[in-house]
Amino acid sequence: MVELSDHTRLMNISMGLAINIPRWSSPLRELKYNVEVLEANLPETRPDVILTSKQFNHSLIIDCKSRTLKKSQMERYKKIMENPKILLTRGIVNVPNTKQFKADPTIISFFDLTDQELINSNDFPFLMVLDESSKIISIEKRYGAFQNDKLNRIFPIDTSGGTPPINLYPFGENDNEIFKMKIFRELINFGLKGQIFNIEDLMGKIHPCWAIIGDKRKFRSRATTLMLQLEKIGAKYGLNRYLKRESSSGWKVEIPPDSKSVKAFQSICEKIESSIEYGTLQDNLGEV
Amino acid sequence: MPKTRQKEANIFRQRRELFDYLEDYMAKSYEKLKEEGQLEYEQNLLKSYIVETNIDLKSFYNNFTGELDLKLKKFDDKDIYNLTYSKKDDLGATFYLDTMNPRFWVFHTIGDVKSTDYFIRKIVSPVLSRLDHPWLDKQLLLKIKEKNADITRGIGIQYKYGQIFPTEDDNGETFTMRVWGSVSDELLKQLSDIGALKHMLSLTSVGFKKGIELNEEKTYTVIEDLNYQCKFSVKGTSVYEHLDILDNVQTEYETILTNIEDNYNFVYEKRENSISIDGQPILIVLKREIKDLETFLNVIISSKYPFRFAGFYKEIGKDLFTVSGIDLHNGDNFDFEITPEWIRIYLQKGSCGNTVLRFLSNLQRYYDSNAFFEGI
Repeated sequence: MVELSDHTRLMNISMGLAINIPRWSSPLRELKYNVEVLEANLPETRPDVILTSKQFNHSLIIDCKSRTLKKSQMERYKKIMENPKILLTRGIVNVPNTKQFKADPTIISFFDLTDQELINSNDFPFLMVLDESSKIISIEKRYGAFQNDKLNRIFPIDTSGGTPPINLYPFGENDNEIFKMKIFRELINFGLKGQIFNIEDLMGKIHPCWAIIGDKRKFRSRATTLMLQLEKIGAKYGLNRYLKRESSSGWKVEIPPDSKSVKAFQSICEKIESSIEYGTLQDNLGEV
Repeated sequence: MPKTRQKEANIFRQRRELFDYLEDYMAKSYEKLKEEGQLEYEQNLLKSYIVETNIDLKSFYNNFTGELDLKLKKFDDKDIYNLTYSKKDDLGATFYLDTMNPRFWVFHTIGDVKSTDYFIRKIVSPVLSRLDHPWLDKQLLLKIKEKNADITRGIGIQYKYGQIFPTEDDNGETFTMRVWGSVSDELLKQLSDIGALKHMLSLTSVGFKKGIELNEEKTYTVIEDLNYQCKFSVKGTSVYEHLDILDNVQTEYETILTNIEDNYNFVYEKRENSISIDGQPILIVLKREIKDLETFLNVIISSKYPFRFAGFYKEIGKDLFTVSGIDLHNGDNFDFEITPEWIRIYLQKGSCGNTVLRFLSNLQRYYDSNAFFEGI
């Protein structure tokens, strides 16, 4: 079984609150909140998700956290809360009534951070996601209050009957297994179309947020390492019949357009995948 | 050249000329059927195949003329063509190809069914053909019948689990049935009360009759047999009534298809410093629980007929898998989240909605006839 990273799970949970996801709770959607922005580029900070309700002229600036909070980042969020206009002037958020616009930096975590001073001193809403044997039981507001009272009233959100989405934000830096799966799928896609591709093309296809991901080095490095490994060990599995290096930074996969050939390629990828050590991908980080 | 091909190879220049000819042909063959219970030797029923297309006519011609020796001749009227294909092994047929709706082409023919079915299969089946059948699920077939029928003429059921899923006995889990008569609807209701059949009643065709009384002396009749891949076999005296029904079916299907593509496909739009997101997943609810998700997925993404999906899956929780798939018909990517009771499907920007419509139709035919879209 693959365990998704907490960050990726929290990203999906947060986004899913404002998107109509069948078999999941989307109470923010009912309050007309939309996923306005992912990984917004703000000075000194990069909130994961911004949910905005044009009806209430209000945004949640969500940061998905594990156990650690950074003082400088929290201070920056405080400034944004005091002067949310920066989101409007930078064109990150659009609301009809700019004068009434309010924004709440919001921390979300699987861990109870209520005893952390940075939560208490900054007065941000803190949402805790309670899970039990990989099921999300509820999302509770453990600290603070939103500036939109209707939002305060929806917590705690009972999610025990639902399954959170996992494909809204498919993988983060630490989700190697999903990362590999997406790459293999894309190799079939490039292969059927006979396209030459480089790492940038590959990443652009497999991650919907690639264009705005801040630090791309880890992803690029991991994808390059995987491609080099496929070249290196591919011959043993017959992959070299399909995968060719086209230039110093480009590859080409050629799969005859029939279902038997696709199946054969798919089987090779499955065999190779199990022989790629997860550690190998991480050990080579930063090489490219 | 085979005799049948010579007979069929009428070249038309106007729509009206073609359809008047087909109406006359239909009426004669219908009379023959009524009088003698069978058609004349080498006489065939009118058939119309709707094909969902994501390519233009030029690409279609270039892709298939090598193998099928296509001859395409324009009518004087716009967007309609005489199309013939031939093969060395005596197969061959003439179609009248109507491309007025660029998304849904209609191939009309009075050719031999073996040859015409072969041709349609041949153009739809290849990987990345970007041509597909419209796939009518059980609910849609019943709706179409309800909207267009004066009298139900029959129903067809084909459930073929054992053909693609591993089963314990050689015969597999299959159930096929074809019944004629206006009591077919009642029979279907009665059958659904039989526990052993509850997930096997996959409706694969409906037959119905529509009559139009012009005056006391003259009545037009059309008898349609429509299957789940949008193939019409037609009898009767009014080709124009057939065209109306065909247009209704096409419009019904196109409405669902564009709803999926416009409102469900996920669009991640880049803005200056960020990305915004729009779209929602599609949910298929199963009434037959999937006991072994891995075995199920190995069939679904085997690249083979009928699903024609390739891809990879991972278990990410108790009774929860994620699938990264590719639709071999069009090369579109999709993602699933799947549990024993439901499947959540994520289509990407620009994806063809037919991927999920084909998936549901085939799930009904091979796994659970009661599977349905929730919320669409």
